Amino acid sequence: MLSKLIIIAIGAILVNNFVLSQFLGICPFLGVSKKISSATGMGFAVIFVLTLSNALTALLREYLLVPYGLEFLETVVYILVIASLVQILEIILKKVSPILYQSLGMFLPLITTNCAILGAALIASLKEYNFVESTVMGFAAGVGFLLALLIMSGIRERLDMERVPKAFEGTAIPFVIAALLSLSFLGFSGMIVE
Amino acid sequence: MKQNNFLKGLIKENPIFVQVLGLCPTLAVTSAVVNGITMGVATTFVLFGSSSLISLFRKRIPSKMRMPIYIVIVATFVTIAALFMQAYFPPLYKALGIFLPLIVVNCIILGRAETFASKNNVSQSMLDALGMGLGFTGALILISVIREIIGNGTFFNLHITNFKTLFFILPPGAFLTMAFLSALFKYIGQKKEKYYA
Amino acid sequence: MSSDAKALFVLLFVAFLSAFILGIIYKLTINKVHAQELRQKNLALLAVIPESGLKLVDKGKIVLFEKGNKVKYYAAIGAAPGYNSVLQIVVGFTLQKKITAIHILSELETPGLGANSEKPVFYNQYAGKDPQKIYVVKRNAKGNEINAITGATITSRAVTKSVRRACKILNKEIGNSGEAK
Repeated sequence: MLSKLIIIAIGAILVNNFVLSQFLGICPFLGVSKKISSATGMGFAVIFVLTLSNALTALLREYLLVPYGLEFLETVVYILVIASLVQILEIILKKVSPILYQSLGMFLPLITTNCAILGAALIASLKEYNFVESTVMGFAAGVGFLLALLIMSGIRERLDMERVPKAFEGTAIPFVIAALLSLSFLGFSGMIVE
Repeated sequence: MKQNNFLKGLIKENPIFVQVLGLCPTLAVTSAVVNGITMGVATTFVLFGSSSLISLFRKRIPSKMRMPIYIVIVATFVTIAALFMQAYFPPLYKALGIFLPLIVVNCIILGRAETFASKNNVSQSMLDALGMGLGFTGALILISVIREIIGNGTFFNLHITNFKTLFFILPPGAFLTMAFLSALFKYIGQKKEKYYA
Repeated sequence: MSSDAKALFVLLFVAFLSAFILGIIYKLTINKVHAQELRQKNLALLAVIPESGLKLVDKGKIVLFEKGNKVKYYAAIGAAPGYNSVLQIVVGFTLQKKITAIHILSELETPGLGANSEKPVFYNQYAGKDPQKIYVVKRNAKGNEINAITGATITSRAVTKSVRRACKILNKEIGNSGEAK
């Protein structure tokens, strides 16, 4: 049981990194990776939301959708859960810790449309993970996201001081970096052994 | 004015290359042209349906709850598309995988709903949606043609050439293709500015 | 408070309307989906057995192929998680529990990599092997070994696992005596 959880975790963080291998979470990956500080904030917010959302959606799946044959409502239910979760988190964060809200709060609305959140819930459903497995996967996916974001922003901050070919400025150069990162992460694909 | 709302989505405000939205499905489904086209058509359907509906009821949707309501509307159209595809086009349905339901969080759709459909009448919103959808589909086709031919030597699963580099089918290849196409788009844009300046 | 409550009401109304509409469309399309799945399954079952014209007896977990009243072949479906999806494989067995052939019922693996498991070059390897001894190797497979798809070891292993599971299901249903329960 524990070994399966570890495999799920390593899988989501390294082998099947959400951003660099599964193409989930690209929009914030490109948008928030210009500075290490914003990348860290977004990363942690995502870990938090991902873990909670996967936990909640797993419960709904196990106790509501599957027993009543309502799987076709999966998409609608999950995205509503995620949107509500983010909304509630924003309210709680504002009340409980205004300081934290200052640093993380602005990322929360962006997280609702982060494909990684809904994506993780759907993948957990596809792979028929139970509550514990889904939650671990959510957490690990978030860690993988943070990892990719940190590396990307570290490189981009350095790149700011270098000369980039004019045509590649702006959107193209992050894609080049992502290509190289993704290539290096491919090296992890041999890690998972059955 | 009418033409503008449709044409702008194709090049000037192309969702992928100019607005840089909706990237997740773009990178994932463009490993084969047939998948790219399918995703484009499905997204255009959802975009058209949601924009039309949201524009139709724009005066009745309470502003405070507008995001969740938009999301439910979009999610409904996505599920309709998914159910329909599962029944009538199973291989395409399987090929898109989780990216079909992920159309819900495609920033293009919610973006157009928020920026355009909620503030304009139905016919204009329809044109806007169609234009954006077509621009999105066009971009997907462009990317997937490159990736499939170079990466797999096929086009629409038909064998074209023996030359193939697995790299372009894999994630790094997707990123690299996007990099070069974005640079190309930017280069053309810069040249045009110089020319007209 | 009243405008907030009204807004919430609208949201709930839209949500229920959505569930209602989707429920209808689901009911309309589900029959077609089931029919498709059944057709695929039957095609797969016929594909894995070398003889034609046999009578199919569906025993739930396994399928018997009879000629006259004697069972000549078995088939079972095994499933195992692959790289991106859960694979479903139909496996045909001889009376001696050797594999006749396999047919991939559903897979959602990477195109160009794991999806190549649907190519005969790969899945024909399983024919004639002992399902309890099959094992994936990188190349130069001999005996009960299976050559993995280049760049898709996980999918290759998943197919193998599914085949082994199909065999386990078969053993469970008919025991070692060879008699169907």
